[in-house]
Amino acid sequence: MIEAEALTKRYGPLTAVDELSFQVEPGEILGFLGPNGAGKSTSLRILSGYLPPTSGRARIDGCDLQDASLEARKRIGYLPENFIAPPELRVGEYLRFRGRLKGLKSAEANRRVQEVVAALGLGNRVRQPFSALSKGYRQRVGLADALLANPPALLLDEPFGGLDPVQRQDFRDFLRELAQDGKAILFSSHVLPEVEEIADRVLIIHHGKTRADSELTRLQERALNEAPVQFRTSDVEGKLLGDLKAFLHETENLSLEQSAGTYRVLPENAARRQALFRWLATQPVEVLEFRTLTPTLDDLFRSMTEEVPA
Amino acid sequence: MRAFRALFMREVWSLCVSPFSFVLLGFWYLLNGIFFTYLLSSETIRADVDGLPQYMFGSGVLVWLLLPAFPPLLTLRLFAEEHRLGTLEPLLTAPVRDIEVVLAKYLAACVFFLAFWAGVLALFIVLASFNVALDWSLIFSGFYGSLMISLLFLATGLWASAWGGNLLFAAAGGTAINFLLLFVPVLFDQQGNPLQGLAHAMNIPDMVDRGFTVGLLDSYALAYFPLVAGLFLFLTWVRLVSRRWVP
Amino acid sequence: MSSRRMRLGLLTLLAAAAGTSVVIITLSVLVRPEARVRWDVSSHGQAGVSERTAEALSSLPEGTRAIAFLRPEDARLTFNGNLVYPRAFARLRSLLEDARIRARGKLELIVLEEFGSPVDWTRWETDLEREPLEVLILDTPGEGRRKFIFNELFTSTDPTPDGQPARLVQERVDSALGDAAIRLVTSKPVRAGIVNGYGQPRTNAERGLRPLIRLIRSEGLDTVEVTGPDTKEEFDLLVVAGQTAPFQQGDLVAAESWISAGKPLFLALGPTAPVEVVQQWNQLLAPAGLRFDTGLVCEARPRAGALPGNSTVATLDISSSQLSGQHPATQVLAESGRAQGLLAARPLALEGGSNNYLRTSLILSSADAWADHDRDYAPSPGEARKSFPLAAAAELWQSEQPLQTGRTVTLGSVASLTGPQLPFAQEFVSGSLRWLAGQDAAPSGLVSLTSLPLRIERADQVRITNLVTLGLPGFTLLLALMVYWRRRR
Repeated sequence: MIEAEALTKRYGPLTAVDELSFQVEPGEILGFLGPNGAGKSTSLRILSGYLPPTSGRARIDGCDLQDASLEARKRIGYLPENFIAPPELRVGEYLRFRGRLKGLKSAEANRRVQEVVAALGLGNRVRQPFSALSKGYRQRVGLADALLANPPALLLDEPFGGLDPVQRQDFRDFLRELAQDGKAILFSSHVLPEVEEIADRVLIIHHGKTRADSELTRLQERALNEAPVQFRTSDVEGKLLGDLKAFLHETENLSLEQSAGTYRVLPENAARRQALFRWLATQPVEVLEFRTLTPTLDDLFRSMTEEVPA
Repeated sequence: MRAFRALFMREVWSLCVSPFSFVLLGFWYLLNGIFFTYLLSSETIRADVDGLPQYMFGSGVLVWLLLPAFPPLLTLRLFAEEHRLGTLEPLLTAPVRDIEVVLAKYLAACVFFLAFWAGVLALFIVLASFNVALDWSLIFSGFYGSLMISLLFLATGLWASAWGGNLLFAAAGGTAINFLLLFVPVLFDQQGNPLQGLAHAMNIPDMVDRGFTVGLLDSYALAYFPLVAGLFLFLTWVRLVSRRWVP
Repeated sequence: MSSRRMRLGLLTLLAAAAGTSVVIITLSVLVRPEARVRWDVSSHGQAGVSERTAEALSSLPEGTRAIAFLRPEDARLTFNGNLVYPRAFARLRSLLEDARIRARGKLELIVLEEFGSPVDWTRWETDLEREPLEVLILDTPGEGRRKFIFNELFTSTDPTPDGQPARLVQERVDSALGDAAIRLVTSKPVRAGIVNGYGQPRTNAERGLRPLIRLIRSEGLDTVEVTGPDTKEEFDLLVVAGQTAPFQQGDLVAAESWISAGKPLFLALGPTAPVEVVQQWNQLLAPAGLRFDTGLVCEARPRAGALPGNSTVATLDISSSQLSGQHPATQVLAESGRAQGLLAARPLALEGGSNNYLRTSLILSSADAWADHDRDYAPSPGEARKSFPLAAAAELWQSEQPLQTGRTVTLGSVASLTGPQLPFAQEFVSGSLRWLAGQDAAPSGLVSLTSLPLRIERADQVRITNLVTLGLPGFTLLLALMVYWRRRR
């Protein structure tokens, strides 16, 4: 549904997006993750048809954004970051105008406005001017706008910004419902828990480059694989250290720590972690605690985005 | 066409509910009203009331000074302000052609600017209500000429507005272009100047003073204003669409 | 991809250049005089030059120039205030620009203004041998050149001692241009022979017939001064004004054969013309049925301070209703409500004559006029009050050649054709000359520029001021406040 093929965007010497490729299928929610300035908004602007890529292709529902921009834009609901509507217009006026702009007939536009307004809890705000709305309500108006023409693809740039926890939860539920309706949703965020809670798949970019493109469970598996273990023993003198070093492979040795009978080891993989556990059981020390320090996606994200120097 | 109509209606509506437009309109009425009152007490008009349209629509210094400045003030909100606020992005990512955006905004500004000139026409109606005999043929002809110039100046204003979110640039740029269009040809339309032919063909005050305000409509003048306005609209469109063309 | 960026950037520039080129090319086609159409939407329909003038100008040879010298030179017209020149020059420029366009590229317009280059002004002045007060020169590539002084194109009132400035009254730029163009393109223009050998007023004096000769020329006619009709000079129209001695035999015979040949004649004899002269002409014009009567036509005019015997009683105001609306010479004047004025006129009579002639009274006095015979300038018992013909025209029913139609105009006044009086009868004379020269359809060419003064009471003006400077802007600002307030709720 949403396809990016080697998308690149350069501003002079700066490469904002570098050979970005991915697909979002109908019913799928792709979390677009990256720190500020990673190129998320630029990528979404390219996908919305607002900016042309320096190279690469983008397609929405098979329509190329360069060659059939209008057709592609008909299939997109786009919520820009920090969405803003003309301040002099009332919410209802704005949404009706947007509905008509997106090709809905007058009656249909009115009906759709009522539907999205009800779905997003904007009912008591339709007569208010946009300028009088709080940040959360503005985001809702933006989302209502994106949903008006019932497009098959949604591009949401930082949709959770400015929402309070209750609003976030409502919003997440709403997005899930939309995905269940078969919409392809691509949303960007720099807050991992948001992505964790809702995305089926996550695309991590940093300095415009893809750092990871994977399903969340795989990422969690990977995190588990790469988790260090920490064990506390009665061996306060460190007698075990020599044998432990001998047991560990070269790569694992490097991560060995020891203080007052507590050791931290980064095993090569899960099998080695189990082997370590069995080996410890055979040693003449009392194992007081054995703990796998499972990293959160946040840690993983941090490790991924810190690897490459800026 | 539906998108165009929606955009046109929205722009007209936005102009109609924007206090800034009304302040601009009120200021225009005030300055024209003062000028009109001044003319009524001037020796020239007291001697010949038929000279009034000539001064209000043609040779009037105040009108020539106001006219280049007001259309860009009106059009600056059409692109520059949208750009500044960030409302342009939702607009340009909607399924609407760039040319529709340009034309809808331009036509909306034209429709609203009619209210500016309707106020000037109202000055004559006020005068006529005091039993002053007026030559309406000259008034309407002059009025038509002023509308033509306004068409052009709104188009240049729109072009200046399409260059980014700097409101000062949009207003000052549009005004500067209008002044250039208005007065540079006059400077070169002098006997013996090698560029006189070209300058004369672009001499707007001449087209007005020797045409519209004396009751003479010329096919060239009637074509000049829409064509040059069309050129600026085309340039606005190129400016807008090149955003998609140029990576 | 930098090549793509370049390609697209170039494409943008090309599009802009292409658009500009299309507009420039289209405009350069449309600006050509041949491609232009002009509509006169003014209520009076005289905002531009007439079809006749446009046609005449478009038949001019290529390279003809109209050079306008727009500088106020007559101090009299700027005394007490300058209301004449700005309006006159604006009008002249509009008409010349219209003429230039409608001449289909045949006419080059050069406008030299007061604040333009003095060097240019002097150069053109020298090149064209311009005299002071000449405001327009029509110059063809050949020898043809026609110069117009300001007063030839515009008439104005004088400034008054009580501080009123001079005002513009009329202009005849269109007809003057048209006539000049016709004259310049016609290889042999109609030529008027002006008789000066029988005690006529001097033809070289401003208070004599010089203004009349100027008027004849401005109507596009060539002039030649002759002592009498019996001359070797060739001309098409005989003009006799203010003859004070009877023709000698040769001239009498020539005059008789001129009339019998049906050639055009303009004849003006005032009340002081000797009896012999009047009798001679009455005999000559007997077949046409035109006759000069005796006496001085007087009108008691309710003018304060006018004394009996004062010439004011001999000053005749001719309203448009006293002009013939049926005759081509005066039809336009009668229809457009143009008044004329005559000074010291003798009555005419339209009686007898051959049935071959059609006779028309062109100007009638008012019904209160009387023909004064006893020089008391008051209606005496034998001097009945009635309407007298003051100018008349005769024409043959049938004619074979254009200039042998037997067209004759007689006028009972000579004073009206001289010096300062001519402007009051100028339109009538112009119309008559046109008719005599066979230009029946041509209008007199005078366009009224009488300004409509603004007359409003002081109180009304205050009301208007309040309405337009407070009412309208105030209402708009109030509307702005209301909109703001309502939309904020």
